Amino acid sequence: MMARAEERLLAGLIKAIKMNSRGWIEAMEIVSEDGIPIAHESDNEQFNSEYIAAATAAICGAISAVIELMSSRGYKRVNIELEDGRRVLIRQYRGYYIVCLTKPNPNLGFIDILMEAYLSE
Amino acid sequence: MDSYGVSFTVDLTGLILITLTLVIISIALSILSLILVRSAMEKKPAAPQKTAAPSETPPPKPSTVPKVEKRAARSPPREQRAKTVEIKPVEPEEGIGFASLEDLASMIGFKSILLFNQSGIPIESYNVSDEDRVAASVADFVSLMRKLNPNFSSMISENGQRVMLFAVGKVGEVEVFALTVGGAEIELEVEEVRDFLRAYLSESLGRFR
Repeated sequence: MMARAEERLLAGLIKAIKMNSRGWIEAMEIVSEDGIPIAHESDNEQFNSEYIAAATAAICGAISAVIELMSSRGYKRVNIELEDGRRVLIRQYRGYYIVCLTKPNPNLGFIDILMEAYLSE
Repeated sequence: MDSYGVSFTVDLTGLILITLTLVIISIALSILSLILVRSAMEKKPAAPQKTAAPSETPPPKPSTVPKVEKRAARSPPREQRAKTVEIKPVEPEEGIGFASLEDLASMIGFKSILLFNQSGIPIESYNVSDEDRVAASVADFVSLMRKLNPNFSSMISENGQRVMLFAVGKVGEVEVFALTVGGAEIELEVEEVRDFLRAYLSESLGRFR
């Protein structure tokens, strides 16, 4: 019951972030640490939430393993630039991954403060 | 011989007693003088400053020193405020109602406004050409100023135009800075412009909730 309430809260959060992004964010998704899609917001009908969730878990798992080798305590966010100029931004929030796919050449400064405003703990 | 002997011993003991008394008195006096010197040494640093200030009062000095003190006393709260104030998204009804940065600029009479973060990434700008380069350069300047003065939060340049550079506030862990350019006739202070920009940012982050 608690988990569902939290999932609803997170879904509302990504909806608010996407709506306030001035169109820079194409899609957002919440993924559990084991790669299960929780909720997503996307304009694109072809957005495959399950595929993104699995890829996110794999990417974050690999990064965690590498970071462990560097004797670091952890990481805050992942920023991947795609060939077409879009970005995949991943950050951890309350034990979930928040994945954000931007439009090409986004205003990263604005997206960054937007994510901070809603997701800083 | 006996009487001589007795009187000699009496004199000798008398002399010894007198010497002993003198030694004791001298020791007591030296201890007393030591105590007095120490107490005087402890009082010295405070006393001369108090006395020197009224005596060495050339006319220009007293006027400049209090000003500096006043500035020092005024500036820390501003800097602390700039550092600690967190910008949070507000509901649309709570905001002032700036539709865009252009609206805000025209309302307060600025020619250009650039908002950027501490990494030199522009957040939003109005009438700024090559904003990426400007933001990177100014962020570099801010980091240099922070090295020289960790409390640096604002500066104004007035020479024909009024250019202001200041920390607007923090959004989560990201610190937002602003660079504004306006005419020399603009009388707004940094605090006022900062408040406008904070309100604008809060509103633009929480427009749709």
